[in-house]
Amino acid sequence: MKNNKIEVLKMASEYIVELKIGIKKAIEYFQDGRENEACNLIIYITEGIQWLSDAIKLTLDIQKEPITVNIMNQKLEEILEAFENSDYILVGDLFEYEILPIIEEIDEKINKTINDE
Amino acid sequence: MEHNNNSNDYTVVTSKDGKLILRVTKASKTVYLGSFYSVARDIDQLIGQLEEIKPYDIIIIFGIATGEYLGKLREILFEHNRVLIFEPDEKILADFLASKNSELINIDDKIKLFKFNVDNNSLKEILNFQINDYELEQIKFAFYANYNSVYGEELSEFLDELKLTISAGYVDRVTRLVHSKRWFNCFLRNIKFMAESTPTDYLKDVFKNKPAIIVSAGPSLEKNVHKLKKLQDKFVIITGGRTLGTLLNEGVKPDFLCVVDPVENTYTLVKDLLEYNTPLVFYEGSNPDVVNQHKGKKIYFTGNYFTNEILGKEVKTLAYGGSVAHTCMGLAVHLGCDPVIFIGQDFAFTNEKLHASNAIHEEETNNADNTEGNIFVDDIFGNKVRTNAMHNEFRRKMESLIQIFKDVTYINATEGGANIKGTKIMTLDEAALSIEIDKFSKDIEQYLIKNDDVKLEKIIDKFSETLECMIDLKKECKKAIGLSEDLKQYFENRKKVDVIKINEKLDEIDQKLNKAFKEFAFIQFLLYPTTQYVLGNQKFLVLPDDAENIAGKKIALRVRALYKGILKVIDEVVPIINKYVFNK
Repeated sequence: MKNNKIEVLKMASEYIVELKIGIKKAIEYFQDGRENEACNLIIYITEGIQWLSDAIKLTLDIQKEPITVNIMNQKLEEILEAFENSDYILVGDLFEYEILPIIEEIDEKINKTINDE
Repeated sequence: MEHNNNSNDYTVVTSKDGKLILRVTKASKTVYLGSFYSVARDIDQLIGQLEEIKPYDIIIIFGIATGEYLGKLREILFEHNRVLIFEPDEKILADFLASKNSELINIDDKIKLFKFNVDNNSLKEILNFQINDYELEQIKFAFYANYNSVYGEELSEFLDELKLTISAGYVDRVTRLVHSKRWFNCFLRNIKFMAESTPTDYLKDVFKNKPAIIVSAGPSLEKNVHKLKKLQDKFVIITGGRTLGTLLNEGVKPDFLCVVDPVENTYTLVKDLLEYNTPLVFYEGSNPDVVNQHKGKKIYFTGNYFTNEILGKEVKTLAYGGSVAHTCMGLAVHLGCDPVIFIGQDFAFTNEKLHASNAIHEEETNNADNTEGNIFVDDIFGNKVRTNAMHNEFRRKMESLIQIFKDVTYINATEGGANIKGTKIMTLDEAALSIEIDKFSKDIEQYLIKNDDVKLEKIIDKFSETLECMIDLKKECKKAIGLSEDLKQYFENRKKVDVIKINEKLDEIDQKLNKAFKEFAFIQFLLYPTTQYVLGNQKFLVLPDDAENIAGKKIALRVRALYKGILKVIDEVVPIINKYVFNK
C-alpha cells in the first residue's frame, strides 16, 4: 500500500513539472493581454491542481512533512473572484506570486518524502 | 492580500511592492488599475511601449491612475520632450490632483495632464494646440496598465480622435507647403531675417506678473481704446497689425507688434507705420515685406521644427494657430504677464460690423450685412450675438489656449461681443481698478539682442547641404522609377529581369531616402507626407488573397507612385529655394 502511495507521489512530482509549464504559459498570456488563450489553459490547470490536491490527501499518512492545501484553496477562491471581476492581471498575478510558489513548496515536500524512502 | 472594504467606487491601496494602486468599481466589477503585486512591472511596461525616446519626441499617455510612473518617466525624458497625459475618469483625475504625486507634474512645463471627454471636441483642440504639424513624426503613444480594458471604450474613441488629428495635420501640411507658394516664399525670405533678430526665448518672464492688454480689432474696440493712453505705463500693450495705427492715433505706444499673416493686406495695414520702433514679433510665415521694412527691433519664434534645424537652434514657439490674437496671448503668457486682459476681442459681428471703425483702412468696407455666417452665440451679457464659423472657431481655440495656460488670470474687457469661457468679464475701467500696480519700466533693450549662434552664413550653408541632398535624391528617384517599371513589366508580361537584384537596388535607394530624412528635418518635412500618402493608399495594399503577379504589380506601382511623388515635390521646391535663398 505504501509503495502504491509512493508511486502516486512520484507521478505527482512528474506532473508538477508539466503543471508549472502550463501555469507559466498562462501567466505570460495574462500579462500580454491574451486572456482568451490564457483562459483555454486555465481549464487544464484547474483540473491538474484538483488532481494534485487529491493525490496529496491520499498520501497524507506517508508524507515526511505534511502538505496542506488550505492556503492553495484560499488563493484559488481569490482567483475565482478576480475572474468574476474580469481582473485578468490579478488572475495572472495570483498564479505567479501565490499559486506557483505553493506548488514549488509542495514539490519540495513531495521529493523529500520520495527521497527518504 | 489587503482588500479595502470601503464601498466607494475608487480606493487607493498600497501594492505588494509598496506603491499606490487604484481599485476601481465600474459596472459592478471591481478591478485593480494595474498589478496589485507589481506596479513596478506596469511602469516598466509603459516605458517599454515608448521604446527609445528621442530628444524632441512628444509622448501621449492614456491614463494617470495614481501617477506612480511619473518619477521613472521623468528620468528618461530629454530637455525638449513633452508629455501629454489624458485621463478619462474625472474622479481619478481629481484624486490624483489632490495627491502628492501631482507635484511631479508641476515641476516644469514638460508634463501636462488633461481630462479626456468622449463627447466633445476638446481633445482635438488640445492636440491641435499642443502638437504642431511639423511634430507629427515625433509622436509616441502608450496607455498605462490595463486602461485598455477598464476604459476600453474611451481609449478607442481617444485613438480615433488622435488618428484624425494626425491625418488632418498631414493634410494641412501638404496643402500648406505644396500648394501654398506664398507661405513657402515667406519662409525662405524670413529665415534670413532671423539671423539678425532676437529669439523669443530671451524674453521669458521679462514682465513677470505685470498685467498685459491684448488689443484686437473687433467692433467693441471703439468703446475703450481711448482709455489706454492713461493706462499704458501700467500695462504691457500687445497689438496685431490692424490696430497699430489705431493705438498710435490715440497716443498709445504699444510694446509689441505681432504679425503672423503672409497676405498682402497685412503689409497694407502697417506699411506707413514701420518706422516706429515697436519691437516686431514675427515667424517664418509672416509677411516678409513687413519684416524687411520694419525699422525697429525684431523678435522671432518658429512654427516648424525644420526651421529650428536650419537655424541651428530650438526656439520657443508662439504658433498657436488661429488669428494673431492667439499669438499675442501666447506672447503675453511667455512674457510672464498676469493678468491678461483682452480688448476689442469680439469674435463676433457686434452691431453688424466687421471691425472697429478706427481699425480699418480707407479701401475696406466695415459692414457685416453681406458677410456669410449665421451662427448665434452667447455674448457677454447673456444675449445672443451673430458670428461666423471662422470667428467661432477662433474663439474656441482661444478658450482651449486659456485652458492650457490655466495658471494665468484672463479678463475679457471687450465690453461686447461673444463670451469667452475662462475669462472674467469686466469693463476696462473695472479691470484697471482691480489691479493694484504702479508704473513700471518697459526697457527691455538688454534682452533684444541677436543670438550669436545663429549666423546667416550657417543658414545659407545648411540650405546648400539640403539642396545638394535633394539633387542627389532626385537622381535616385529617377533610378527607382525605372526599376519599378521593370518590376511591373516582369509581373505583367514576364519580362526577363533579375527581380532579386532590382529589389536589392530599391532597398538601397530606400535606405538613402531614410538617411536623408534623418539628416535633414526639412527634407523629411517636405517628403514624408508623400511617403505616408502613398504607403497608406488602399489601391497599393497587398491583400492576403492576391496572386503573386497581382501582388507584385501592386508593389511595383506603389514604388513608382512613391518616387514620382517625391520627384514632383523636389522639382517644385528646388527652384524656389534657389530664387529666395541664393538669388539664382
